[in-house]
Amino acid sequence: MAEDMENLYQERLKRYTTAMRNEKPDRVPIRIFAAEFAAKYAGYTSQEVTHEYDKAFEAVRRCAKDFSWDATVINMVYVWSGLVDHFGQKYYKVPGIELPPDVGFQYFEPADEEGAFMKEDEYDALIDSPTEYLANIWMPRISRNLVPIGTPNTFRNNMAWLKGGISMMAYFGACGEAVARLKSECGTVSAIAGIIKAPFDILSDKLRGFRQVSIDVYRQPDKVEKACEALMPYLLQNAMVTSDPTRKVPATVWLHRGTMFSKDMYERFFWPTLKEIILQLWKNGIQTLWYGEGSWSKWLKYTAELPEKSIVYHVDKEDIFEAHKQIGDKFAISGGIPNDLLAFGTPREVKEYCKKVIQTVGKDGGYIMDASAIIQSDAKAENMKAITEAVLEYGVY
Amino acid sequence: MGENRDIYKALVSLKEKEVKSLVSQKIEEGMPVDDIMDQLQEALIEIGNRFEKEEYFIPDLIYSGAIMKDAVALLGPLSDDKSRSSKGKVVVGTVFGDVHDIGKGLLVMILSNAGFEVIDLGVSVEPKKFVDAIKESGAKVVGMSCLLTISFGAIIDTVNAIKEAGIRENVAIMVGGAPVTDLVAEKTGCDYYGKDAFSGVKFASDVYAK
Amino acid sequence: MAEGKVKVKPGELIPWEVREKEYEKILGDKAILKQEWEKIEVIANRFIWAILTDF
Repeated sequence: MAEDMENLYQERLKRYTTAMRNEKPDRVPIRIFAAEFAAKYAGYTSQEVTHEYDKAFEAVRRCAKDFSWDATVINMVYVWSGLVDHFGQKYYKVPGIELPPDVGFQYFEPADEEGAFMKEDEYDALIDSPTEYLANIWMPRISRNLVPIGTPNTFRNNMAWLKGGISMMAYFGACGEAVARLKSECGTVSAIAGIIKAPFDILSDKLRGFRQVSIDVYRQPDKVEKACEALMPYLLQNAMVTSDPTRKVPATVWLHRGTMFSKDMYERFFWPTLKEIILQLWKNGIQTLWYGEGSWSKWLKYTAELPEKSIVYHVDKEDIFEAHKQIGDKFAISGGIPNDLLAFGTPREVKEYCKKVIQTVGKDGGYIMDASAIIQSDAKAENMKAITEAVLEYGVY
Repeated sequence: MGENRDIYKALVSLKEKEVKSLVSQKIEEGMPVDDIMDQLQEALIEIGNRFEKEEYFIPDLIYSGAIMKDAVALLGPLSDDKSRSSKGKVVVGTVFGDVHDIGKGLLVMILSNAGFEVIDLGVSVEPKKFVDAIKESGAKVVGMSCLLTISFGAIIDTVNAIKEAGIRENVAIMVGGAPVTDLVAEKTGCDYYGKDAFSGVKFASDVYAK
Repeated sequence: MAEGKVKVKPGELIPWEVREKEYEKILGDKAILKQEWEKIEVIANRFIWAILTDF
């Protein structure tokens, strides 16, 4: 790697990690999570970047170079549909197959008990041994290739396990190379490592389904609570093994449905096990990027219970200025540039908004520039350019 | 309307077993099906009010819907032929390319409970299907749902298709879903951004009240 | 439950304690066997959980 590129990388890494530890770097770091936007900018369809991961990585590299991003993620289009094809997950709608080639992949949640991947009477089996439940019962339901234990085996079943495993190794191997190339060719930091899901979220999203869980919390609340507790150590381990061994970049918790529940339910089902995972990671020196979908402002007082600097608080739809007032002394904040502005606003409007965020939220450091939500193809390239210009113009300390 | 409001009270407080046993009991006692339905529907309206006051949340709405469904099943064919007056027709669907259906499902449920006749087009609905449904039904309100920012383009396409069909003046268009804002509604040419299903009901009611 | 009634712990699939009992005898260094067994266990376990949390 060229020396100047290495220097650029180190400079950016320092800028990014300093801001995440709620301190003042040389300037506001730009860390962008771009999915379909990168594809469109590089001239690829969503189908291409979802199915051919090398194109997805290349698209991100092109953006990282052109927009001078300090940090980004090479696989924000996070599902490689090749793996989906080989293993056979039923729950994705894939661009170029069920969706138009220029629309991003989507998770399709079962609508009712009949379609649910985990049935209402299976809580005990999940609680008893989560990994075995997933492998023996859940996976045969979510894959069109697998057969349930106790039924006659098939060639398709065996091949799905084989090809699923090989696909994942191939993909993760390619991701590793892509991270290395992001560094050596763009001098850009791979922004995150390690995946965290709140136990209640994963129960709701992938196991029972949101509509079913909404009923379970009334019909069998104790089981729901126990299931979250049972999943916790496994999800913690899953986060640990995927995290950054150098402890520089954070693991990310992709928070989904916690804001839709009442205070009592949040307190009982969502928060205790999520908090424990974050605390355990922090004990191991791993910071968490709190990436809440929607507005998490109503749970700020719980989030504020976490140790200083243990998280980076990402802002989606809530008021970033208010969030900064309330927890800015404890945690760094990222995001908050509205996606509708990036889609429909002018570069001047985007620049003005970024300036305001930089000069208030980022006044004393501890702010990482990003949009509110992962950027899809609706964002205009000139507005993405305006973000970078705003940071270079107003974000130098 | 009978003076006995037990069913109403049980549903408002989301007591599933109580609602079931009360409905069975009242049928046996000969309470008119209309009275039972009235209590159930009024309870759903009250649950909606409590949702707006943030005393109830989306899971509570879903649960109330499940309780309601079972209760209506108990009434069986008795409830079917009761032609309950329709407040008007509303065409609803998730826009093309977007397959999310939870928000759209809630809107359909809440509109139906509020007395609207809903033409549910499902998910990933092509603009032409919206146009056809508006033409066929004569609905004065159309509701579009989306969960992705990428769907903003599909909202514009749908509004344009409605314009090109020459029926833009006949329908009021509302749009909702997590990434939608007033700015999105304005820039995509919609008339209204509904922050939740109940705002959607209010908008539809206002349109039909005119 | 797992074979041998040992609960499958985080990061494991077929726990070492189960596999260990299956060897008729181990004449050499048991630690080497354990180390290599667990190395792949973690990766294969990650496959199961990655399908749940990532894919």
